Amino acid sequence: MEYKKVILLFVFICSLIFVFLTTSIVLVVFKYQKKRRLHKINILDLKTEHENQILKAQIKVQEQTFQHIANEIHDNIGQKLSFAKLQLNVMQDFYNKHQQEIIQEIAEVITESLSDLRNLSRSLSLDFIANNGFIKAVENEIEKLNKSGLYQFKLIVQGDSQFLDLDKELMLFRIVQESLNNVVKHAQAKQILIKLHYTANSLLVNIEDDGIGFDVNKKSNGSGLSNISKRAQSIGGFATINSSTSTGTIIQINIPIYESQKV
Amino acid sequence: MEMIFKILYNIANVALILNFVLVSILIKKRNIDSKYKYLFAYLFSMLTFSSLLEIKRTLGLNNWNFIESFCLIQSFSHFIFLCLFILNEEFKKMEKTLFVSSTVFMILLFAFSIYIDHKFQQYYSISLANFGLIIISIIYFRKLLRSNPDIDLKKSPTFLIAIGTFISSGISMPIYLFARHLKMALDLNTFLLIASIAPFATIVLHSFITYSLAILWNTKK
Repeated sequence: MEYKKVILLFVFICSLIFVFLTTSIVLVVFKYQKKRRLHKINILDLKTEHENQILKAQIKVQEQTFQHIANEIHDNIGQKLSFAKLQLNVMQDFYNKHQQEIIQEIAEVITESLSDLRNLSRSLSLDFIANNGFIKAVENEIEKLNKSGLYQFKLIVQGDSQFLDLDKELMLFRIVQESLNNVVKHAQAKQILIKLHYTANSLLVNIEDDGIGFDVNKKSNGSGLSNISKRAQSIGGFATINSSTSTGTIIQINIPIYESQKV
Repeated sequence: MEMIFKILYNIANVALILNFVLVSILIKKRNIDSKYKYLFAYLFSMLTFSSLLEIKRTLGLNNWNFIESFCLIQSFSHFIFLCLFILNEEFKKMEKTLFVSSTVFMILLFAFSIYIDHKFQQYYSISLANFGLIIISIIYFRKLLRSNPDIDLKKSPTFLIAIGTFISSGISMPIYLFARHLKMALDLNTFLLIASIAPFATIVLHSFITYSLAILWNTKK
């Protein structure tokens, strides 16, 4: 009887230890993995936040530089060219007909340059977007590029367009500028379609071209495409880039319209 | 049943030798962490005591009390070196106190085990050492959960050895604790079958150690 009790006690203690061992190991591993997962997410969040801060600082500096150049064009170079054109008009009366024609041609070149500079100033300046909005700024950009006669642009606005925060509009405009800049520099495209689709919660911007396309998975030396993604992320949205040699490139940017909503 | 016990016992000895060779090579040829000297010391002491017991058994020296008393030192080495290895990371004040007090406690318990039953002192001392190691493993797990989680558990030698120690100590502790009573209560075959758990636990521990050393072998090239 005594021995039976001992054996029963032994079996009981063994079972208890078995349960304890299994539970402890499972608990430790599970808790640690959970903590590790959270730790990784935290690190990733911190990294993203840090990158966003750097990007914002870069963008701020860039905007300040753009604004400075735009002011210089408008206040200094523009004024000087306008004065030169005025002087040419005054000079015209003192010369013969042939010379007058040459002066007229110079005046026309100055007028064209003034117009180009005005467009450039608008596309660089924050004031233009602040006063006229994102759609007008895109139209102005298209007008500027259309002058080359190399491309056919089409702008489609769907849904009820609305003004967004200035920061978002400016960032979106810079993304469109960067995308169009890429098309002009690399795509060898003829037709470019820009589609702005406003919904209740988000704005979808599509930039399509019929150019030579590229391999999206291949790492390029330039930072244009990664800039587009980072800029979109900095205003709570995201960008997707699809490209193939047969169909050209489609850049799609999805931005939440309200501050609290993230797409 | 005796056959099963002997096979498991021999496998445990082979695993011990293999691990000793592995850790010796790793310490000599690779620039591994200095805490592995404790693992080396552990394996060396275990190998020495096992060899002495084997000599005793081969020569049939049943009343060799000198070697019998080695069992106490073996249990103590088993506890102290594994403990030093597992808790090697910088000791904080509280852990240092815990370590010192548990060591003193173990010495007292060993002494007490001799006092209560001289004949079965080795069983009690091993059981106590295993109990101490379970506590040490729990301290390590607690420390692990409180630290910054930046290690992959599947590839952490210290964690694997701590798990191995925890499992092997856990499953073998009751065997040693009840050895005396079981020996009297059961017939030899049944007793040997239950006692086979002890070498099996040693195999489990050495499997974890081998796996850890294999990880070190592959990562420290």
